[in-house]
Amino acid sequence: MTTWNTIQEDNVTGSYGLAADETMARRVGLGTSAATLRLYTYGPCALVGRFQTVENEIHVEACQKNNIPINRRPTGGGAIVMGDGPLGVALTLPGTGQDTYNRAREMMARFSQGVVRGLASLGVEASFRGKNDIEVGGRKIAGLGIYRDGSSGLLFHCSLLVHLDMEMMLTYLNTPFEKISDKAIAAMESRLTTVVRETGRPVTLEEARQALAQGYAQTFGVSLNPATFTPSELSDIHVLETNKYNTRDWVYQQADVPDAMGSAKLKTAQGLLDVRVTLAGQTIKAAYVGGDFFAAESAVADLEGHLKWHSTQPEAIKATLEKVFAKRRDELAGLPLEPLADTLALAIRQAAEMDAQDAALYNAYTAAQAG
Amino acid sequence: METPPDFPQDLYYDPRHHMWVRPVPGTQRVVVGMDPMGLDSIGELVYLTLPEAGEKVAQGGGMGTLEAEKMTGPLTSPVSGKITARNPQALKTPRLINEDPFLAGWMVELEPDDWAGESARMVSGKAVAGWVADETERMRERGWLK
Repeated sequence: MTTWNTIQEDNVTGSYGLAADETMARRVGLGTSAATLRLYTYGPCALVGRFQTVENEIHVEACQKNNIPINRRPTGGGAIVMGDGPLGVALTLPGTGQDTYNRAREMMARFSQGVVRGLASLGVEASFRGKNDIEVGGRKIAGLGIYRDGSSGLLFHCSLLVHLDMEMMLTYLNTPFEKISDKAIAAMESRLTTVVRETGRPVTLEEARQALAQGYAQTFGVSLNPATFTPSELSDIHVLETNKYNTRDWVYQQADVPDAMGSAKLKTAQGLLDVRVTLAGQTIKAAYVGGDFFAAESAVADLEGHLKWHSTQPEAIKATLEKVFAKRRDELAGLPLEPLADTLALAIRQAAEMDAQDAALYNAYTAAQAG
Repeated sequence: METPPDFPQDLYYDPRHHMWVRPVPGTQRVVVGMDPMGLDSIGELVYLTLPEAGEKVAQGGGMGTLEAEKMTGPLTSPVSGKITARNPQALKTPRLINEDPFLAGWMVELEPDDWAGESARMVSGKAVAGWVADETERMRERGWLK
């Protein structure tokens, strides 16, 4: 039977935690470290996805004021505030060596099964949601990501919400809400859930950690060997932490693909529609559908999940809306489809126009610099 | 993906990394991109970095990074040489690579160091159809094709 090392750590810094994950992906790919399942927690910190723009995702001033470090993951996806509520999972495995991408699509589904099985042992019926989330009844309980190192080593990242300080999250993350209010918290609670909430009991991080370890052992048919980092691994981690994760160049880098945000409101017979979108180029990174219409919150969250990483093309959006409305017809009966498609199109157009204005300002600025 | 689309026979393919290379007629340059099987594996591209003109890349080494729907990681260059251009449209709208992988979705142009030697290790010409058929069968056996 194959053996994986398991490493448990708590209260690590963002820079150390991320350097450790990337170092192990490289070393496992090179064959100088064993496959490792790391189950750990961070001290308070805000982490953005690989190409996100820090200023667009994080309230930087609030983080600085409260000494919350900001860092950038090697994996993709959205920003998250870590602390003693989310449990971090970092599974590092050698690549197969057969082909570089080796069906990342299937790997994501398979890697997520360790978490799903672990949650099932705690009595939580979770499932992998098409893109890169694990959900319970339409609410996100874990975010997932895969990073493939140049050595072919694989890093599977997961943040499992064991419990969550919603106010802290709203304080440090840039969300669709202008201020922290009961309405904002309620809206987030309808889209996110936690292990504690789903089980109805105070599940500890340790209990969740053991459940996930067993979930992975069963899913992959491996035995787990409790371990700590070797001196050589620690040395490599500290080098990468110093040279990459503790540098402004890494944390505050800018992508070529512009982020843009747009919003639109529309009064309909069924109530007000309030739609906000965040785009990366011509891809919807996140969508928020609010207002005063009547619809099941989990169905709205499901709809938003389907729009994540979606094309901005109106025809493609309409086709996706029709699919979700057909699946959850009764729960979405109070949400008018055509006006929703129109409002999404308006929000996307506004975001694209703002992006064009930003580009024009940038061009004027660079022309002035050149002059 | 249902079945892979037509793979042009006038391109050279790196079968391990699913990258393609097209010699530019009348020049010593080649253009590089990713083939539809590689793209289907990782999902829609959302972010992309590519080396700047003048930078050197090595066959099997890094050639920028990407974030797709399902993963982040380095792009692997199928050929060694010096970058002469990169596709600005693809950098700003990486989804273009998914939509038109063999033409508008090209990634970089470069001057190869040893085209004769390195292209001999790629799949090209009449061998393309057989390689695509084998890859299709492999994917079907694993349940990856609908």
